[in-house]
Amino acid sequence: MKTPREILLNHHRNADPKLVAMWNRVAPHATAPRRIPMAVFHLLWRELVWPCRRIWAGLACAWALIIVVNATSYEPAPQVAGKAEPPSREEMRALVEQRQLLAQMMGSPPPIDARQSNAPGPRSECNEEASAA
Amino acid sequence: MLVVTEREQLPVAQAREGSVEAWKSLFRRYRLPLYVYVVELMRDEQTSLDIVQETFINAFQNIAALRDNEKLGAWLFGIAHQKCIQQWRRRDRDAQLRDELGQQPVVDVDGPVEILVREEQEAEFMRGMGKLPIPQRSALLLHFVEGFSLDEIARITNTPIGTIKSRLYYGKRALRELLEDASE
Repeated sequence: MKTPREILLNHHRNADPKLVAMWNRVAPHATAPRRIPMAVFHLLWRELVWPCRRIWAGLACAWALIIVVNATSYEPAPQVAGKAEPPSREEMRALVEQRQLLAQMMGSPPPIDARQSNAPGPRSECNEEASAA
Repeated sequence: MLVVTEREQLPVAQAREGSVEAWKSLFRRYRLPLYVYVVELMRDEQTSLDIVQETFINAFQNIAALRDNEKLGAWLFGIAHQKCIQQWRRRDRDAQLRDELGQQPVVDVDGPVEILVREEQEAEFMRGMGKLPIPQRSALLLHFVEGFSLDEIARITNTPIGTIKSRLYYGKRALRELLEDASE
C-alpha cells in the first residue's frame, strides 16, 4: 500500500533531472543582490511597525489631530518690525530730551547727540587748529 | 500517514541572509512537490517547469516578505498557485474551471480521511486525480503532497476554509469511488 504522496511523487519522478538542471538557471537570482530597499522596508515593517501597530496608529491619530487643530486655529502674526516707519523728527527730539532729563536726574553729564558729534565742524575751526600746530 | 507533517529543520534563516547553499537545500526539498502540484493542475510539462522556476525566482527576491520561517512551504505553494492562476488568465482558457476556484458549495465535514492505494490501483488513482475538477484537485494535491492543514490550504488558495473542507470531502469521495470501481 502506498500513500497518495508517494504515488504522485513517483509518477513525476522522471521530471527530476529537468528540475535539477533548472537550478543552474535560478541560482544566479539567489546570489544576485537583493532589492535592499524592499527588504529593509519589509524588515522594518515586520520588526518595528507591525508588532506595535496600535501604538503607531494612536500616535498617527494624535499627530493628525494636532495638525488639524493647529491649522484651524492659525492666525498670522502682525509683522510690526517690517511695517514700522522710521521715527519722525519730533519723536527723535522727544527721545533725546527724555534721555537728557534722565541723565540730569542721575547726575551724569548729558549724552552727546550722535549726529551732532559725528558732524564735521566748521572749516574755519579746522584752519585755526592747523595754524596753531 | 504523511511524513511531511513532521517538523523539518530547513535553513530558511540562512536563505534569508542570502546563503546560496541554503537556497540549494530548499530547492532540493521543494522542487519535486512543487512541480507535482503545478503539473497536475496545468497538465503541461513545459509550462509547469516555467512556473516552478518563476516560483523560486520570486521566492529569492521576496523572501523578506515571509513572516514565519516555518511557513515556507505554504508560502512557496501559495506563489506557485498564484502563478497557475496567472497562467490560466494569460491563456484565457478554461474560464469555467477557473471561476470554479471561487465558487464551490460549502459543506462542513468532520475532517479529511486518509486514502491508501494498492499498487495495482496507482494508474487508476492518477487517472482519477486528472478527472477531478481543478478546485478539488488543487485542494487534494496540497493535502496529499505536503500534508498542509485546512487552514494552510485555505491561505494558499485564498479560499474560505469551509470551501476547502468541502473540496477535500467531495474529492476524496470521488477518488474512493473510482478506486472501488477499479478493484471490482
